[in-house]
Amino acid sequence: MNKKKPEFGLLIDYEYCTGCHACELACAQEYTHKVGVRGIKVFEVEQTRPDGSEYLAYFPFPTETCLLCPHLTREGFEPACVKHCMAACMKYGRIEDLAKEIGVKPRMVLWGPR
Amino acid sequence: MQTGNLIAGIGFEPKKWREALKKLDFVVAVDLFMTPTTQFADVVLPAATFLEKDSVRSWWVPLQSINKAMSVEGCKPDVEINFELAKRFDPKLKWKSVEGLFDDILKNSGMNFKELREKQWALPPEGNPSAPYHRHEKGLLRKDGQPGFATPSGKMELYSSLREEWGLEPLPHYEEPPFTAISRPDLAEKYPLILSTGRRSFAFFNAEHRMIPWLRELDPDPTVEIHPETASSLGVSDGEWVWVENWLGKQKFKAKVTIAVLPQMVMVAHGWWFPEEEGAEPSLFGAWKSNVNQLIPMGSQGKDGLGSPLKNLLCRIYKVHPEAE
Repeated sequence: MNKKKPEFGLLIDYEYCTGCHACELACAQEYTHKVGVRGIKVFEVEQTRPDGSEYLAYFPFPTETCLLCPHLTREGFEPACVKHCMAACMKYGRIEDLAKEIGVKPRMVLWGPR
Repeated sequence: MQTGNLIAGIGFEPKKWREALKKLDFVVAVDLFMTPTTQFADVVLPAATFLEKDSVRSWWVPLQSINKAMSVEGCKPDVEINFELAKRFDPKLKWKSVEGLFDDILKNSGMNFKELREKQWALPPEGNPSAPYHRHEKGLLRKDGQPGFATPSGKMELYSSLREEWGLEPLPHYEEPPFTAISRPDLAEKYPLILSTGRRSFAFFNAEHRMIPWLRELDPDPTVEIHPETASSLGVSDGEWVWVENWLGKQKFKAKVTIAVLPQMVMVAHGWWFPEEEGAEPSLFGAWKSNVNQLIPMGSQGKDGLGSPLKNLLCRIYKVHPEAE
């Protein structure tokens, strides 16, 4: 079994995700998955903080179906979701390069595929 | 009717619009899709989308040409349909062709349609009166060429002398809307929640796009946003179907329990109809069951003739009991 570590991944800066779902639509257009199956899904998170104030955030979650669009990246293009994110929340690259950018600001997640 | 869906889109009390449409001798609808409203047309002309037509975009900057990229048999651009009509109304119409009309629209730019098409887009030249800042300082706003704004005094009028002349309140002011707990406590007793509508969907534009599967998947049902406290006092959970009711009737929506709205109000999605359902009457693509405009009265504009109670009506909400309906 190939246990190779993933080389490429996504740096997701969800602070600026507006919940527009354009990444989901881009993914749907790129592949022909069944209804409900997407390489990426946007989740809405609502919470009341301990101090009573309300918290509402969105997070684009790359699912098990995500292959990081190898047919596009091979040609030098970005994965479909990254390309179509109007808030530029996502960055595609080598995980070791992206890792250097994490922590420069809060609310970032580094993701590697299966 | 040209790309207008007043039964499921913008018409308040749409059953009145249905009666009005039925009284007309002959109705022609021009649209991209069959809608509840096109059901009342004697003839439906399929419109061309922006990809299927040549045109110009001359509002704001830059000036742009729209270039036809494909053709779909039987579809005509709105401008061509209107041009044919205009020729019938006025045999001495000053333009000979649609392209001649575009040339005329563009003439101040010094280019004709063909030239703009080659350039694709153009910014106004330096010093052109359509673009610069500080136009009031340079006398570019007034007919008399004097510096100042296009008001009787030439000043920026917070106290509007024109509004005063027209018999309207000259100063910015607040007017209590017609159907609130303050203006109509009698109604508020029966319908205690503020009914607001007009929240934009991330998937659709107003009454459009419900027939596009990828978009519909993102936002499949007409929703009403309810604050968690309000939902719990009504015994309603997230995802349950509820009736939104006021004195004009009741409509069905799916509850979305969220802190995005205040406890005393609900936000009801607008523009809903169901292209997958039967188009013929009485169904009209389901236009009568989840259409918030059926709860909005016509004819309650402000004194200026503007505004409508879209954001501040009254309603009550209760669960749909399928066995009882």
